[in-house]
Amino acid sequence: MSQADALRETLSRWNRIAIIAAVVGGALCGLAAIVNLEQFLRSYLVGFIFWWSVSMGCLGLLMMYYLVGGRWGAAVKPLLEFGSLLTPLTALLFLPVALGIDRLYPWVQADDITPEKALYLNPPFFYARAVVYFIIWWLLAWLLCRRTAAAAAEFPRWRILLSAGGLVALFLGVTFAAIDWGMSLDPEWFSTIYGALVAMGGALAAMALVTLTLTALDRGAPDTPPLVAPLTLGDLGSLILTFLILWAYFGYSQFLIIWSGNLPEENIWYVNRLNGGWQWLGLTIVLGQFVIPFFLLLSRDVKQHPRRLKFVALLVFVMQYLYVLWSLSPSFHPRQFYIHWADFAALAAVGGVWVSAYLWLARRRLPEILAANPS
Amino acid sequence: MNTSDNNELYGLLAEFPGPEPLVQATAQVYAAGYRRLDAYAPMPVEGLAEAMNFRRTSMPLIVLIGGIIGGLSGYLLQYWVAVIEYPVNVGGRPLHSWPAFIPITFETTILLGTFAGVFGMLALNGLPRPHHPLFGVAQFKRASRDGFFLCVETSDRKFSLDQTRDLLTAAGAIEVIDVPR
Repeated sequence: MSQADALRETLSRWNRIAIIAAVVGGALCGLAAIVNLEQFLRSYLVGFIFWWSVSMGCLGLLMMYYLVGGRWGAAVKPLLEFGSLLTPLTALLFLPVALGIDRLYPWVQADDITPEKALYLNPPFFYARAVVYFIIWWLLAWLLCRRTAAAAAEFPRWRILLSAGGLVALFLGVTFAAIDWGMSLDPEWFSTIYGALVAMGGALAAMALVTLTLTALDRGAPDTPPLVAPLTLGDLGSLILTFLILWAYFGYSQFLIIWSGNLPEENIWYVNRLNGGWQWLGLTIVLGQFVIPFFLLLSRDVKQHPRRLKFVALLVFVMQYLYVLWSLSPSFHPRQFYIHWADFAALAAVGGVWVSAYLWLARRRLPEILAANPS
Repeated sequence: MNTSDNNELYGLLAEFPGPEPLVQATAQVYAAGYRRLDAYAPMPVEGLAEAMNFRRTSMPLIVLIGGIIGGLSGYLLQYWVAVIEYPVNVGGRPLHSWPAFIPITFETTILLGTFAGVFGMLALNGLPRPHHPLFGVAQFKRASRDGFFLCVETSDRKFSLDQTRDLLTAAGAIEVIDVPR
């Protein structure tokens, strides 16, 4: 009957799908862990890093909204809060990675790396750092999303100040976490922009996810007004375009600098990813995560149209997952394209858990989404 | 249609008592079939652009074409220099080393896109133009203080001095002024 009831119904239906994905994916992950524990951990790491980066992106965008304000943020603020509030959940989802580091990371066998690197890359320090990261992120998310009387004003001064410092802390934390969890798969290799690239990929995926949520909800009966005003949709599309360009700029900088230097210890990362079939995945990402969405998002006809924008946001979100896969998996299978069914199982398991919690929050706090989008 | 009048006149300028009457009158004049009209107000008036059915300009297309020309010419310039006219072996890389060409291509895309934007905007606005006929009307000064004006230009296909004047008066104009060319 009313718009709220219809939306609640839609959210419930999606939530059922997400729970099924979590259960089926989880069962398959369990099977994979029995059959091939090493492969399960590798697939799980890819799924975990992707969904963790989405949470971090939500938290970062929320703080950015507190700092700069704007129509876009008012429309998606509740959704960004839901994504940020899942930080403790990502800490739980981190456990399989934490328990499996001896099978994931070559540096656990200390003789594989120099003594200087072993000062940083050793299991006790790795665990201690992970604990510190999650405490900082959880504190930020809790302080920013907590409902208090003092937070009744839309922009309490302390939250603005917290966001200013918090963005720095988040960026540093994500950089270190990206080095620990992703870059250290190749302990000999290093890139100074790696963390920024992961952080920006997270912001891009989060922006795409909240836009996708709003535009997918926006398909009521033809006589009901649109959920999101066209100008707001245009702003969301423009922000996806902005993050897309920034992400592509970071990614290309890393490639160009390593390509120009052409030193064996640096270029091995790209050699492993541009041979044996991986190059076709790389080309797909260049097209699907830059060229196609870039030209589509130049047009206002696409950005201000719910169904078209939904398609672009979905494309960007899926492509960001493929990028995470392309940036991590070749470390295990260099110069030889390799996809295991556990990759899909892990994506479904971690994603199902994450999305069902996100949708559960969205359904419970639907009035906030509607209040943020008066139409 | 009186052609001699139309040659001496730029258009008819009607003054309205406030923003709402201006929007209403604009919508009426537009509904009557007039297209070459423009409204002037001291502040942004909500609904005015919609009342005129303000269409999008061709600016985005001009900027896109400028950007594409910039990108292509930047890339081709580097190709011509590095491959055809002055080939130098740099660290054994192929002469056509496209990754190194991308930053300059990006810069020239932005450069020509911006030039197209600025000069295209000036051209579409009819600039440079030292004097506009509307400034020949003494009352028009008030368009930047407290005056709300609608101008119907003689170049409109439907323009007729008497009928247009009657229409503007009927739409609630306080005063309808001839704008000399």
